[in-house]
Amino acid sequence: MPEPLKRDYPKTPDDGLVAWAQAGDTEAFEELVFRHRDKIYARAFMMMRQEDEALDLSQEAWVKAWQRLHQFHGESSFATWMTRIVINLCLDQIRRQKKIRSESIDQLEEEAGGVERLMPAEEINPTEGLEKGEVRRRIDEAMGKLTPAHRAVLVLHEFEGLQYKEIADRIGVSIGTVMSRLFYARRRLASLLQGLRRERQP
Amino acid sequence: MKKEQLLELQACLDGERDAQRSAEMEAHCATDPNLGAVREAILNSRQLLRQHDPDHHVPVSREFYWRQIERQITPEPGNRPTPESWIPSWNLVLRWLVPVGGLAAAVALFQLPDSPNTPPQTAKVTSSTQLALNTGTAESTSVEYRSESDGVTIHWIH
Repeated sequence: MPEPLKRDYPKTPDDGLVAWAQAGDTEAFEELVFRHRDKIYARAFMMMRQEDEALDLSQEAWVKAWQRLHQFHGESSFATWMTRIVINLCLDQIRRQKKIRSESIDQLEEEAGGVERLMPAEEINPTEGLEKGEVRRRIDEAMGKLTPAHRAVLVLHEFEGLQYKEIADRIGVSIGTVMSRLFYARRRLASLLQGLRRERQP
Repeated sequence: MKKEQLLELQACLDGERDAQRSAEMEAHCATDPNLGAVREAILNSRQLLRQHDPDHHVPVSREFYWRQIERQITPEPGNRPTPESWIPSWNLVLRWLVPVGGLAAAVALFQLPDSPNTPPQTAKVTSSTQLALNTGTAESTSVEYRSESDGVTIHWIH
C-alpha cells in the first residue's frame, strides 16, 4: 500500500488549508494562524490600543474561528472572515467597557455643533513630503488619540469598507450617529495630523 | 455650512447616495468654494487612511502565540477519562452491590411464607460482609434470618 503524501502546509493556499482544518487538521489551522496573525492582531490593536488586550482578543478570535470553521463557505476571503470575527470581539469588549456609548467630551462637542467648528479655513496636506512609514506611524498615533467610539466607526468604514447601515447595526447606533461620528473622526484625525506636523517642525 | 449639508456631502462621497443625488452635490461643490474645500478634505482623509493602514506585529513568538490557541482548541489529555480512573468507580459499585444484594436476598427470604396460616410476626435481618480468609479470592456475604416466634435462625452464606 503506498504511503500517503505528506501535506505541504506552507505551499498550500488558504482555501486548501481551510478545507483541511475543517476536517480537523490543527496543523493546517496553525499555518493559517501563522499567515494572518499579524493582520488580525493589528486590527485588534487598532480598535483597542492596548497590547495585552489586542493580543488576548486576537487569540480569542482564532479560537472562535476554529469553533465556527464549518460556517465558512468561502463567500469572502479567509482573512476577511477572520477580520470580521476579531472586530466583533473588539466591539463586544468596547461595549462591555461602556466606551462606545459613553458621552465623552469629544462626543458632546460633536453633538453640540463641533463638526462645523472643526472645519479649517484652508486645508494643507499634513503628510506631504513624509516617507510612507512615517505617515503610517503618524496616522497610527493620531488614531490612538481618537475616542473608541470614533475610532471604531473610522476603522469599520475606511479599513473594512463597511457601509453606514452595516456599521450602525454592528455598533448598535443610528445611521445618523454613524455619519456624524465618521465626519467628526475624519476631521479630528486631519486636525491631529496637522498638530503632529507642527510639533515636529524644527 | 450646516451640519446636515456636510453630512450629506460626506454620504455622497462615500457612495451612500444614488448617482443623481451625488451629481447634484458635485455641482453644488463646484459653485460653493467652502463646500468644495470640505469635499477635498474628506477625499484626502479617505485616501490617506486607505493607503496607510497602520500595521502592527504580534509582540510574542509564533510558538507562544499558537500554544495558547492550541490549548483551547484541543482537549487536554488530562481531561480525558483514563482506564485507571474507572477502577475506583468499579470498586465503588462492588462495595455497594454486595451488601445491597445480600439485603435484597434477605428481603426475598422474608417474603417466603412459613405456613399458609401463620405469617411471620417478627423478624430480624442482619447483613454483613466479610472477607473469605481461607480462599482470599472473593468476598462472601452472610445473611442471618431469625424468627423469634418460631425460634428459627437461618444463616445464608453465598
